[in-house]
This record gives sequence, C-alpha cells and structure tokens, in this order.
Amino acid sequence: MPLLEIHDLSSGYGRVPVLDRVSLSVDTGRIVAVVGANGAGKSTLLKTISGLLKPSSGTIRLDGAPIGGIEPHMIVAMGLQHVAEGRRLFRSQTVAQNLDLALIGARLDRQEEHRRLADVHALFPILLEKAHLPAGALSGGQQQMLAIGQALMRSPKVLMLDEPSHGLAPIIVDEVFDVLVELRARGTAILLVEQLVERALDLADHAYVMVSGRITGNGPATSIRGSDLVRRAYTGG
Amino acid sequence: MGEIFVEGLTMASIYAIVAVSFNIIYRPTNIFNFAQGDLLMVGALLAAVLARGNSMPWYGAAAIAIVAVMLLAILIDLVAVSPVIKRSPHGAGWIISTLAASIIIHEIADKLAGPDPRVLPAPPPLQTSLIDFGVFSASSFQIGLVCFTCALVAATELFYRTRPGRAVRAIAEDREASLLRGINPARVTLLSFAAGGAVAAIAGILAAPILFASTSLGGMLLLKGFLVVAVGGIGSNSGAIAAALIIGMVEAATARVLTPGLQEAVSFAVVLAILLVRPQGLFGTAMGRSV
Repeated sequence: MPLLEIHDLSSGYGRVPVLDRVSLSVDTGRIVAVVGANGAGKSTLLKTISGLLKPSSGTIRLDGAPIGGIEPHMIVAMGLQHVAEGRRLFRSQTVAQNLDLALIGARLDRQEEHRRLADVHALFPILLEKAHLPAGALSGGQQQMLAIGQALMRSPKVLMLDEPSHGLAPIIVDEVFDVLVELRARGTAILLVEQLVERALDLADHAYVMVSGRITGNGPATSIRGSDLVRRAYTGG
Repeated sequence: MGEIFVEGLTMASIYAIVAVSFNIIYRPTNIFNFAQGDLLMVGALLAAVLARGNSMPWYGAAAIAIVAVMLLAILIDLVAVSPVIKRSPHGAGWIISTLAASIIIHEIADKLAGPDPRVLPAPPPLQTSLIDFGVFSASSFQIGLVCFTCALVAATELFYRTRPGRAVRAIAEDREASLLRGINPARVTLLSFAAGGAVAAIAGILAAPILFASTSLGGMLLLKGFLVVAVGGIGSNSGAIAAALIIGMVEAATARVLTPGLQEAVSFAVVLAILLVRPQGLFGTAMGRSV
C-alpha cells in the first residue's frame, strides 16, 4: 500500500477551482516529482494534502488513514511534513529555536528530542554551526536547509517539498538533493514539486506531469524525461 | 512633586497590567478583545463580593475570581471569537462579536451587582495607608503594585522564550508556516484568552483597592488600556510600560497642577500628539503584516 495515496482530488481557493480530479501515489522509499508550468496547480496540490486548503472532493490517504479536510497540525502529527515554497521560517528566532519549535505537540522525551536534533545536524552540519544566529541572518541555501531540517525534526513518513531549489546556487541544490537521496534510502516517501525539471527528473523515481490542475501523464521519471508530455506541459502545445 | 510621582506610578502600574492583558491575546490572534474591560470588572466585583466582611480569605477570593474570569474568557473565545475567525480568518467580525460579549457581560453584571461601588481591601499584609518616606509618601500597596507589575511583565517576556511562548510568536510572524510546523492555532488562541482573562482579572482586583469595584470600572480601564497599547505599540509590552508611565504621570500631574477634571482631556491631547508623530506607537513596527 502506498504511504500517500490521492484519488480524484479536487480543490481550490474559495469558489475558484484549481485541482481537477488529481490522482497520484507515493510509495515508501520513493521520490515522486510533480512537474508542470507555473500556475498548473502544483503548490495547490501540496497545500491541499497538508490541510491548508480543504478538498472539495476526492480522498487523501496517509498510510491508509484518510486525512482530507482535517486540520494541518493533526496531519503533521500523523507523519506528513510540507516544506512550503519560499523558506517560511520564523526569522526572529534562532536556528536552534526554529528546530526546537518544530517539536511542539510531538510529545517526545528529552532523549528522543536530542536524537532528532543530532540527526538533523548530521544531515545539515551548517545548522549546528549557525545554531545561535537568527534564521533571518542565514543565506538562502542555509534557510532552505533549516526549513527542511524543521520538517525532519518530526521524522515524517511523507515529506513534501515545494520548489526547494528556488533561488539557490547549483552547488547548494546538489547538497539539498543529496539529503533527499539519503532520506529516500531511509524509507521516507518524498513528493517533490520542482522548477528545475531536468534535475527533478534525474532525482525522482516516478513523475507526474500537471497541466491546468490536471494530471496529463505519469510514469517512471526516465521515460517521462524523454517524452513529449513535459515539453507540452511547458509550451501548452 | 513626590505625590505626582507616586500617584502617576500607581496608575501607570494598573494601566500597564490592563495593556499586558490585551497584548497577551493580541499577539497570536491579532484580535483586540473589547470584552477585556468587562472581564476585569467581573474579576474585581467577584473578589469584592467573596471577600466582603472577611467571609473568605483575601487570596482565596482573588483565586476564585481569577479562575472564574479565565473560564469566562475561554467562553468568549469559544462562542464569540474562534467561530468567527474560522469562517473568515482575515475578516473583522471579531470587532462586533467581542463588543457583543462586552455588552452582554456588562448588562448581566449590572443586573446582578447593581451600580454601587464595592470595597475590596488591598491584598494582606499590604495596606493602602500612606507611609511617610520623607521626600515622598506611599502606601505599602502602591509599592507592592509597582513590584508586581514589573514581575508580571518580566514573567510574560520570559514565557515568550519558552517553546510554547515561541509558538505564540511564530503564529504572529507567519500563521501558515506555523500551521505546517504542527502548531495548533485554536489551542494557542484558547490558552491566550485564558491567560489574558486571568491577567485582566488581576488588573481589576488590584485596581479595586484604589478605584473601588463597580460595573463602571471596566469601561474606564478598557479606555485607558486601549490608550496605552495605542501609544506603546499594540503587542509590545515594553511599549505598554513606557506608555503607561507617560499617561499615568500626565494624569497625576494634571490633577495636581491644574484640576482633576482636566485629566482625561490632557492625557488624550498628549496621546494625540504622540500618535501624530508616531502613528504606529512608541515601540510598534510600521511594517505591514504578511498574511
């Protein structure tokens, strides 16, 4: 059974529909990419899964349990993390405080909290080095690492990332993508929305192509890469 | 001169506590609770009724009043605030709904307690009788009140450094991001109303030995609390202290130098002057809030 399974999902903002009967699934230890032009509905998809938007119809299952329409903090508690676009950190708080805050409501003992923190520091050593700086003082790449680090503090079963490479230098993108490979090896199910289509398809196992709120095709990332689907998704042809 | 200072400081302390009670609720919710004055009034009246004629120890009466007001504040959130912000998170429906809560509580209190002011003594062993210190004279209650206010503000600021306190700041900074990190805003709002209600009750209980407990106490201190948060910058406790000192001192000086009848006029004129220069308040930020 897939860890994240979406069936015929429709949603939007108020009365403006965006997603139109989207179905997709992500298995454990897999990276699934959703590619498509700006405005195709990729961010709306992630926001609906994480509970920021309520689905108008369709089902979302996380590890078998329906999560459509429930509150975001409940979905977090069930093991899903959404790293939003634009590195949404708490800029007035330090790096260490941002990581610590992600544990709110997790009800872990001290030992487990330390273990999680040590694990995030092992993946992103820079976060230990800059622990006492305000998040707002970090570079773009470091902020992205902190945003992902916050999500990892909860050891999510499903990790969703919206444009993690946005505005980052290629060498930093490598570093971030290396961590995603490591997480995949540990069994995390990763749903990736990415502007850098080539890179996303290099990294992903499976890919979905999205055009105007609909999935127009899907398949193994390598075959999607060579297909016409992607070109058409971006040119509208 | 000494009298102006002592009186100014006393009133500044009460205004600052009222302002802190507003800020506790405002920071995570961006809501200015118009029923805050009535919570304060209920706290003062309830404590005065319970402690009348030493029928109950002062601290027991105060504790019951504080808990009762906390529950009332939670009720306001559940009935008049959360349902409204759930339907339209960025709307202004809370203005009317908290105003409605204010009027309902006020009228019920008026029916039950009547308009007569009641006496609530100072918390023992403190006394409201003045002690002569040479350059100035002050009561042990006034000294205790100033110390308590400082301790309250310090404790509030320390709380904002703990994990739950930082969750409150996180919601204020980026509500959507805090939702994605697993913070439950409904719970934070509820707890903020409980805490803001408790501090409002404390403000009423500590104002009563000086101003008497009556149903008109709420409206008067609501207005002063509002002035203080407007001048200090809404949400800022350091701003509240500075603004409370300014307003308290201006009032005390006006009453002594001119006439008590002009207190309000002069303090509002000073407030207007400050807001003309700094519309965002002394410690407020002029930045727009991202929603």
